[in-house]
Amino acid sequence: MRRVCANERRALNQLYDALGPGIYGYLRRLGADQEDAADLLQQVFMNTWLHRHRFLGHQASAWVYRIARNCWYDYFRCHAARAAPAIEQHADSPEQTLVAEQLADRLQGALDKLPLATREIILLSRFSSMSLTEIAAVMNTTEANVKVRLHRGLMALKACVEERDLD
Amino acid sequence: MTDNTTQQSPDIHPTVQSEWQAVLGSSTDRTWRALAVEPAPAATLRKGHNMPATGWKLALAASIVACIGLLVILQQQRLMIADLTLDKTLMQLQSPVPVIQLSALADLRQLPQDIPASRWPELMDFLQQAHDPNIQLATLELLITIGAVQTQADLPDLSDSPVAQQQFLRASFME
Repeated sequence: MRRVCANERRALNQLYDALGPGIYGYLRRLGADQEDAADLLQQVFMNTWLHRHRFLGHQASAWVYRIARNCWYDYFRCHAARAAPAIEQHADSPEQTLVAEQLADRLQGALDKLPLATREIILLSRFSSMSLTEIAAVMNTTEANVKVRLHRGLMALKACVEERDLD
Repeated sequence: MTDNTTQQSPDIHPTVQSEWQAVLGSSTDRTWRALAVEPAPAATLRKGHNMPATGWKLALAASIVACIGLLVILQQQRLMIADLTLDKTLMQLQSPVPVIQLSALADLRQLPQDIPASRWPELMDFLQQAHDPNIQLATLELLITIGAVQTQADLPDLSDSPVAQQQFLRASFME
């Protein structure tokens, strides 16, 4: 990130390679479809480049994820009524694919029922490789609050997985 | 909890991992995988954002030329409207109603632009032909304000006006 701040465009590509996949997953699971998530991802890195002088020099991932979050909220305001898009699962056999898709759909349903902040924390923990402290910085809250919300969110996901196993 | 198929977040932070493990236990891997999405697109800029530097310069130059053209057109329109307003106000001086004439003289004093020297003779003629002392005085004031009358010699021939009025106007000018 320091190299990005020093106007090195190549460093931005490296930052994209490091954080892009996670941010893309975060945006997809928040509800953006494939095309919109790709557009948002570009927007995130465009904004990162344009506002690089505002970076204060610590927690680069948290800073870029905060930009992603803002981009998501802008997008969400325009597309709030849209249903969460289906996400394809890739497994070895058609049967495994079907099972994986069913679980993914259930989990997405459970995620969608969670409060937005809790859902974001789950997704940040899943896709960002950040610590709880960094997630707290992205969410502009305390680490304790992140921990509590993560716990509650994961409990909801666990209930969903167990319910499916019983079926 | 690695994810080789999608290559998303190969590293999980230990504090997060312990939370996931503590809550989900044996279902952690399954849940982790089920939340995966397709790989992110490669880092390429979209068309339009990727315009070469010369393209930007040309676009900038074209915008500047367009802005200048627009400003010139706006300025021409403004001047045309000002001319039309002046014409209309000078026409109002020809009205037989003194109130309208006085109103037109007041408007002429408040015009945002100068009355060009080419229109001064019209005002001089009007001063000569006016018989109402109030209108004559207002016209004289306007002529002095716009610089058309600077010395007594610039005053038009007022022989048609009553003598008392001529004296009054000359006295007003001296003040």
